[in-house]
Amino acid sequence: MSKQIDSTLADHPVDGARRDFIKQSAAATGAALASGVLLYTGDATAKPIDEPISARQRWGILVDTTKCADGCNDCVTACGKENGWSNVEHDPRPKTDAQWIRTVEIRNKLTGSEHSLPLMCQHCENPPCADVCPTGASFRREDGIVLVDKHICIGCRYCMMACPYKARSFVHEAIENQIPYAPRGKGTVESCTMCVHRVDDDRDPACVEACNHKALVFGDLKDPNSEISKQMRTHTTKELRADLGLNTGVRYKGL
Amino acid sequence: MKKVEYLEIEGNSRGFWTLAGILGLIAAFGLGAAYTMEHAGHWITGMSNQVIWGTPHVFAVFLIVAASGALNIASMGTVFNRHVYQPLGRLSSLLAIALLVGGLIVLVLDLGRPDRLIVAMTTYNFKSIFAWNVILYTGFIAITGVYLWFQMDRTMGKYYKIAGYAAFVWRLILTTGTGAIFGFIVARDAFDSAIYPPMFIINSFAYGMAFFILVLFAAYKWTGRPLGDKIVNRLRNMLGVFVAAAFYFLAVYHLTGLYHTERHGIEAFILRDGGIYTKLFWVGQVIIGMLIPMAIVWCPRPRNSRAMIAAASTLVILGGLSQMYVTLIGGQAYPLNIFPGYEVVGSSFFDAGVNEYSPSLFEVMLGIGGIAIAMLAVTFGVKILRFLPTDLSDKVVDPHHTKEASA
Amino acid sequence: MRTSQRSNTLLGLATVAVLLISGSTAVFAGAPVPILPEAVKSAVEGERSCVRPAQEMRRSHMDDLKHQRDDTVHEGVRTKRFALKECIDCHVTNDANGEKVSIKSREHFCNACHSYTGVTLDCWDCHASQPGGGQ
Repeated sequence: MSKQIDSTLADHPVDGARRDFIKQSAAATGAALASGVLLYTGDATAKPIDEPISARQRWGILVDTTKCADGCNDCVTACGKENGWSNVEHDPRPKTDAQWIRTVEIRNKLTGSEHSLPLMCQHCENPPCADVCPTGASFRREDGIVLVDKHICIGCRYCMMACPYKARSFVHEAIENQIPYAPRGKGTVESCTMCVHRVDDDRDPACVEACNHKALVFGDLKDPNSEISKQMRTHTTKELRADLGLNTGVRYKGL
Repeated sequence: MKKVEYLEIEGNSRGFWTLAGILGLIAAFGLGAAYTMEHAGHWITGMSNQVIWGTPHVFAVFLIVAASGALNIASMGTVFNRHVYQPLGRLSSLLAIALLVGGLIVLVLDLGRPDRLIVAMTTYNFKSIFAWNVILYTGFIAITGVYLWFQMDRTMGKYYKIAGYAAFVWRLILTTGTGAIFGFIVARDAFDSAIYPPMFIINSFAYGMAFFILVLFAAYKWTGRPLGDKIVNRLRNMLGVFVAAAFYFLAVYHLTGLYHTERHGIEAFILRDGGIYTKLFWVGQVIIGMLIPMAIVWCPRPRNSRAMIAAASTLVILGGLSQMYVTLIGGQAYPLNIFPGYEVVGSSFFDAGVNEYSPSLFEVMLGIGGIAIAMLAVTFGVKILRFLPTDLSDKVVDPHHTKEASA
Repeated sequence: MRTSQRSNTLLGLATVAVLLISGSTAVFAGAPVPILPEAVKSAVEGERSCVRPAQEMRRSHMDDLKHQRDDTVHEGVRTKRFALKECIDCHVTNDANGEKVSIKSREHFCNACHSYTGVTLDCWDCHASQPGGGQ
């Protein structure tokens, strides 16, 4: 993995004022660029790496259950590989091994209609996991991605009690050989990060990229011209446990 | 009323050291179990990604609930002016602190990262009930400690009432917080109910009283100090009333569930189809924990036997542990309803059907270790400081000689 | 507060270490002095240089890393200058046989000093301790 040494890395220490100035001008340029681009295409532009994310975006995933193929597990495999959770060094222990995403088959009790769909963190706007977390380790980023700050997670698992989707896993044993951009370790809770390292790099999450059936669409829910917004405008979509009023970032079509 | 004298117990007998040794051994096993669990990781326990909180939490929450209840006897004396209970105030406060510490040790040692306890003490998300509880628990220890000090130090006598009121109000808030841990969880059918906090408060009265009676009996029997029927009968009667009140709350909780169609699933699970949870509910929680103790307390013959009162108290504790097991683990064993109107026919993550859980030895050892630590603290507490009145015979505590209103 | 305490401790220990090494090498000849592997890359093209002078890095790398960690996790700031991953990529080198060096080994850049100063870290409970994650 060879990579170039970027300018921020090579930067010699700068005093606060100068750094702020650079930051501000970069932000201004970024904003100007972004607004210009938005005017024409509406496409999201890559955020400069030194700029914080903002609430201008809200990332979401639309799952089209009519396209999701029965027996296909590509999104799950891709996620496990991307984030390293499927690479367990011990014998599989399904009850305690982490699963950030899983495929679930459901049947309508009345009509008997069957659906297959991936289930993962639903990235709620009002996440119960973040409400109950004593230290604030569970939190929602400005752009809607719900994460665990494992540095301050004490492993109480209250978030797992509170999550209506069973989206979270507790790391039950020591892990070695983590993937550099996907840190994870014993005694903390984890879940789908919407591949935050990819999103910050202007790429789609691994599951979305891996889906050959085009059943997953990733995008900015706040951008009316994004593919996901267009689809959600024209089709009926559903949030799981809508009765809880959590306003999830992951939506399902065809349920 | 004769002046009440307090004195340390001698604590040098073979019996004392045997008791301390046994409790110490159990506590050491508990700590050893916690070390093993933390070292290997939680996979060696019965807990999993399905049943997230296990036996340690059953014991921890039970002890914390019982702790606030144990303070009740002191509050009866201070806040409600029942002078007959005042001689028991010190022991009541000591027991409350000890039980809370025992429970907290269990809770903390089960964390995924107990080494980061400092984070929990310094970084707060104030929307979290757990964060409140960190403050409520430490505050309880501090306030009860001060209350205890004012009870023991005559020079602080004029502040004694204020401390007593503060401790009383604090303990109500504390148990509200403990009940809210479950009451505020919207995700699970068994929880998500405003009845949890008041139900936990009522339960705490019963569990705390049961612990108190047992400790009192043991202390006075083993030290040969006189303990009259007057005080014992009052405690016994209160135990009965608290258990009856707990029974009422339990009935209301389940009747609500049986009325709400949405909750029929969880009710059927707990009350009829839940296997071990159903058995624990009916046999453990209801019959052993409530019906038999109430029968003992109110039937003319057994109610006057110390052994039967002690048995009733033990049963209330066993019932309380059953209640926590059914509430906590039964509530998690019942699957989440992620897709209302659908049934799950396939999943790699146990979304269909009841979640299995069987407690590991480590968890049980840690839980019982917590009780041992609490009892060890009381054992040494009464040896070191003057918690126990030398005499609780009827002529000392006779209520007719007090200012107490006729009751 | 905790970090500054830790850095103070580290500073104190570092001073002691320097005194021991410079003053009484003969007496303490057996002490396992940390041997730091040479970095494989440089922050400035053509120069042997870190993102800050070594003196400063020794003293304040923990503060820089912690600051970066919060910015990255919570705000998505992905600058590389104080990113732990970049430290690892430059500083953690293979051993004489070309094998990856375990974080438990004293040949590991981070562990060389941290084991010497007795500062236990939990970074590598979660983070990859080798470039590419030792896969």
